[in-house]
Amino acid sequence: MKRTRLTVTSSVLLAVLALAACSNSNAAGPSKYASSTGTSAPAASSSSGTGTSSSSAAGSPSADQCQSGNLTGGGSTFQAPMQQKWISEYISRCKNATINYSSIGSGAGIQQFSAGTVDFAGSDVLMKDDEQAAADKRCASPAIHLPITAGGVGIQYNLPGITTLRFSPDTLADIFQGKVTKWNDPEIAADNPGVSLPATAITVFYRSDASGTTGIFSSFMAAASKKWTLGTGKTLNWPSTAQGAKGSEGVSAGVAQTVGGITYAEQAYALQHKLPLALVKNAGGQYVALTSETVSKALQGATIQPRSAHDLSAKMNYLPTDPQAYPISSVSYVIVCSTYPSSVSKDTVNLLRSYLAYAVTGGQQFASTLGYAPLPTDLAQKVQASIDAIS
Amino acid sequence: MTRSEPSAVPAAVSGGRRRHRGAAGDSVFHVAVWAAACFVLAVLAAIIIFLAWRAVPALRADTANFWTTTRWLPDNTPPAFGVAALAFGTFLSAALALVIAVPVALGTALFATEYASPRVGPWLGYLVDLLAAVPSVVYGLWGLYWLVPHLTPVQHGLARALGFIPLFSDPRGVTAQPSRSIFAVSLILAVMIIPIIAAVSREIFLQVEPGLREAALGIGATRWDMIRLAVLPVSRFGLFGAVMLGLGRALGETIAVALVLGSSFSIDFHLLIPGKNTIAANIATQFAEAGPTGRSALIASGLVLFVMTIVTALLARFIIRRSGAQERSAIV
Repeated sequence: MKRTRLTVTSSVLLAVLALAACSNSNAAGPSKYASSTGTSAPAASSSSGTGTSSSSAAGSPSADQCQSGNLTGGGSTFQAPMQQKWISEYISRCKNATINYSSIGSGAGIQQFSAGTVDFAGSDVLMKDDEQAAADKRCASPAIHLPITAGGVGIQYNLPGITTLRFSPDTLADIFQGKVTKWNDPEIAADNPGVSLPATAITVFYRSDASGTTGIFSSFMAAASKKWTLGTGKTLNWPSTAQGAKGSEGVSAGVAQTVGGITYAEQAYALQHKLPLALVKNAGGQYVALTSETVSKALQGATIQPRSAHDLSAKMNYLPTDPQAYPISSVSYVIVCSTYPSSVSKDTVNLLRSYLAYAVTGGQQFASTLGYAPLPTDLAQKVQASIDAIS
Repeated sequence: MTRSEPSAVPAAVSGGRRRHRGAAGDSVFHVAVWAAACFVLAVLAAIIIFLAWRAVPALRADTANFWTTTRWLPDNTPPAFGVAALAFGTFLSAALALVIAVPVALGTALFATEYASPRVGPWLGYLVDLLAAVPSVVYGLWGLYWLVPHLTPVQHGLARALGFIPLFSDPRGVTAQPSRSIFAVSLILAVMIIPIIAAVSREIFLQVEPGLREAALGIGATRWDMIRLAVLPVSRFGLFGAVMLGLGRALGETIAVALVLGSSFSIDFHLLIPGKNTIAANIATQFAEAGPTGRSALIASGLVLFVMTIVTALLARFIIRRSGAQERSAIV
């Protein structure tokens, strides 16, 4: 009897361990990154045989032509709503095409692209050197960044009755770093003459998950304000008075529930939670609202710094002097192989070209309704040229 | 003559002690049971080895003390991260969840087995079991959108009435608004682990020999006396296992905590204000965008969680055994 009890207890104990272990291994599931971040050179493709000459694109389909086959992408949650829209539009016209995009985060998208699990990745940020090396290795040719959509990061706040607020970068730096703690602080008042601000405490919400949105916001803050000391990156060392929340959904919900709350998030989430978006002062000295037009203006200040032929890596200018440019704007990329290895079927490559061509032309019209900004025409044309060159 | 096809339960209970000539089924089953046990142990070992192996690169790269640092910036240059705040928050939330869940779960199980009529009891059991079938992300969303706003009067009231106790104090005056606190998280964790503890406890109470109950009642014990003297002492080890199962889930819960908790990397005992973080929730939020060092660092934190779970379970078991031995000797 006693032995029985011991056996039962110890087996239950093992089950506990297994349970705890499950939680870990679940999270560790998609760990497919190549641990060898070696210096394998992005050598010219000897395996696939086809050159990277754009002449091979001569017979490529135009955007109007349907391609059949399977195409899988994954990555950035930021561009996921656009991808879903494009996919549903594309496959409604082209019944024989199957396209999937899973929003797993830019980092995970890049990992899965390098592992060969997805055919293209969506990313809000450029690949780091080791990521680029791994992606080049997978492609056996340079992996290239193509801007596919753009958007602004909005400053959302919750102050009942106050629908218009304006912030200079210095004020934002002090608010988000916990130096300004009340809404009626003179610094905020100086940006907002004529607005009667309450003495409500400020509650800062930030993304607890590593996020490209945090990356864009911190890049802007670091460029625009000398008071910003948190640096740049997808995660920051926030003061402990600020609250982390998971995802854009989490921070927006937090602000919506908390009078005096403030956060940074994509425009779409502000609309969802009926939160006002603040105007932000740009380098031209103007307070600018976040709209698809003002984001498109800001994109015109971006410079393309190609890493290889057909690559369209952009360097955002967070200090736009155009009086109508919203300064916290950035592009979101798809990452593709310039030349796909033979393990990827021709059908898939043709479908990828056709799909992306649609996305960058006809697909751009959905940007403003979904809270994004269409790519400027000249940039879209460059992207189109790079898409044609994919083989 | 014995049955040549023993049903699973009696065979597992009686172990492989009896052997019969010609009973091929018995030896096959013996091997199968051993294989199952070894498989579980092998999985356990494999997990530990995997975690340790993957954790090493980050621990080497860490420029801060992994055990005492309260930051998590593994993908910065240079990487600086530590598990202190995470481990603290994990332990605090799981402990509070147990404090809330165990009385409710045991009460439910006792009611279903000892108080409810035989027709009602099982139905109560099924309904409680249903709670376990709810996906944790649903609990998380429910917590974020419903529980946290509706908990405001409770948290604010607690802070005002018991604020002189550090556990319930509100140093920043934030509980008047929805507060995504460890308290809110622990309530949700408690709801999630109640069905596990209650279901296992219920089965254990049902195993208590009816003769014991009848004997207790026969000598004039009240129903409470009967439970106290006959049911609970016999069930102690099983109940311990049930609570440990619940603890395992509370320690390892990822998405519900990640959604509900207003996280920060701080260490304090203020239960009602937003802040703190747990290992599992941090893994869930950071994993998608983590770089190579970040992933390795998260795996290192997973290893810490794993070891925490083992140590807690062993420690609790040790305490239970000691108290059990003392009580037995006291009775003798």
